[in-house]
Amino acid sequence: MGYELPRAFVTTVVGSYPKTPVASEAIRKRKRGEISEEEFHRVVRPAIEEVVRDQIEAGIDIVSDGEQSREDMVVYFAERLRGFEIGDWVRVFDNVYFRKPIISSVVEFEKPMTLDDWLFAKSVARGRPVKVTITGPYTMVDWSFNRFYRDRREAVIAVARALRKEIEILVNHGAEIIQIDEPALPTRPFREEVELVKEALEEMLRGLPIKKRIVHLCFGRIEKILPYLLELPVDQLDMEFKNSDFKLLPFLKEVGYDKELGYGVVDVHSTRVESPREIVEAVEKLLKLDVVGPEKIYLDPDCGLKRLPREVAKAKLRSIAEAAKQLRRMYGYEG
Amino acid sequence: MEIFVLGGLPRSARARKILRDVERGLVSEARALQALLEETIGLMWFQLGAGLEVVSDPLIDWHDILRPFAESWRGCYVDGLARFFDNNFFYRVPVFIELPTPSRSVLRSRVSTLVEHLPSWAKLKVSVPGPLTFAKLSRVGGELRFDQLVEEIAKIIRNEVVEAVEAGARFVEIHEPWLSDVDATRDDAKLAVELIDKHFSDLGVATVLATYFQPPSPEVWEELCNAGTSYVVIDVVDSPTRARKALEKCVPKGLALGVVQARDLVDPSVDVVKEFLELARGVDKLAVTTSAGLELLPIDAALDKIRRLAKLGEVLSRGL
Repeated sequence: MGYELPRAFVTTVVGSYPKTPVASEAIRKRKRGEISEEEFHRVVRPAIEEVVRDQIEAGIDIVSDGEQSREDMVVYFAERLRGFEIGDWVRVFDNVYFRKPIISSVVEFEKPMTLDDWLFAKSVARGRPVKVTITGPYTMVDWSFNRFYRDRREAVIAVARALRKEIEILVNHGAEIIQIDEPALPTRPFREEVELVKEALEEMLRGLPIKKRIVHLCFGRIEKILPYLLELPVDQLDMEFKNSDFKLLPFLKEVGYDKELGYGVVDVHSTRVESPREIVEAVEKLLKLDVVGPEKIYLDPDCGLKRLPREVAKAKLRSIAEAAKQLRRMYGYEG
Repeated sequence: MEIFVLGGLPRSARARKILRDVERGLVSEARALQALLEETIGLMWFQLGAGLEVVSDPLIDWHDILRPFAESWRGCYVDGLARFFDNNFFYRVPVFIELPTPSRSVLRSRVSTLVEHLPSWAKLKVSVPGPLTFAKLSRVGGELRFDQLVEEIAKIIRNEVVEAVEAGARFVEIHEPWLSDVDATRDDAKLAVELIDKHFSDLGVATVLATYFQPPSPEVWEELCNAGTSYVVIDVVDSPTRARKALEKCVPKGLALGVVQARDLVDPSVDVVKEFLELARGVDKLAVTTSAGLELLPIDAALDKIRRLAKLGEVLSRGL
């Protein structure tokens, strides 16, 4: 069953979606050792099906598995790669914590980590493309303690090599859209940091027949590194705009932005649901710059939706899809 | 040489659970406050047990350093999350719709209670957000001018600190991590120093101007060296090269070297620390501290850092 993507203003998600009770329970059981990894991915399937359905009902074109298996974007991979130990609880905000991993030996790929969930999501996506999201090596290292590698670069490249194997397997199974999440990068807005990410991405993606390569970035000083981000070997930069009140927009013009743009138009840190009108206005602001055309604009949230109540997350996606519809009508891309 | 932990400490499993239970309505606020006080006392006594005389309020009931103040001021509310500098940690952004006026005191009763649980020789250190960092990390709405806001924040924080000192605080730590930020300018540093000198120089207790998460740039540091606080803190472990450059430019009268890494498990060797002590020659007063607050470490690692800091301080004191 095929699904034809719209020619412009394609809608998508960044990746994570609020956990369903089934997913939370499956994660708990997996942690307690009550179920094996294989069983875990079977048990979590109804959750994936539910959240894919939410995305489809909301009108999203490119969906994800909602990262229903992932307790945390870093911990999930750290638990499944060799070389990481899972550390103790470290605060992320308020009273929310993650178990900060520790790199304690050589980081190596062990077995596929995202394949099962992606294949299942694809099987229930009613022909829609399903994006694979992978936490990038820079962020994996930055949000872990490194007790093994001499320096950060060495650790980042080791993780990149391990993750390449995951991507190779996904590509061999037909994955076409791969997104590498690097939210840690804009926290150190320096050229040499982007160069390190570039080197890591080259390790991960070089020579692989991937239809769409995306890097996702959010919450930091993206404007300071934007010129260097254009050098990354990817087709699309997916970035947060709404939370920082679209302050990044003028910089797109300044640097001569020439990639596809994942345009974050709803704030994932606020429960207020943006109206389609607001989103249309945000897109018009972007179009006025005459930098990125409608066919290269992908509308999505600023970041993963996991922290929002599920009904709010779905409502935000609905607004995005409705805005995209209106925009296609306005700019002659309907039908 | 003074030895103290910068800022706050992580929450124990018990403290995390109590706060979760409060959110879920399973425990009363009064019960939670009592439990958090017990945890706080435990963490203060841990510092004493490690050999420190200056005891940091561990701030385990504060979600971030701005929030308790922002939530107790009229004209301000807290909004969504924003990244706290270069960390995988987020704070809630204060939004000012008009000039703030306090509706209640944050520190007075807190300090009175904590002091009761400490021996008389212990010096309780309170942490407050610096006015510049507070304003820089906030959203300013309406017709408010930044300079007006920062001045108003400084006045309110000063009143808080005066009350804290009256209640028994003997060390006041003013947190200005903005000054270590990549966007901090010499003018920012001048403004921060001006505000600190105007509002915090007559407290009659030791004062600390805390920069962290990076050493400030040499230009910013040059201004900070003029601050009238008892100590100015510089993080020397996140970027030793940058710290060297700053310290080669100037040293303040009172210097606190952030020598114990607060964001990683690994620490620099004693030799590296000694190298920085060499650079600090000529200061009137010297202290050693952590490179930032220890809140972003697991609790056991943080406790281990306190032990290490105390031991390092002892070794260095003997060598001086």
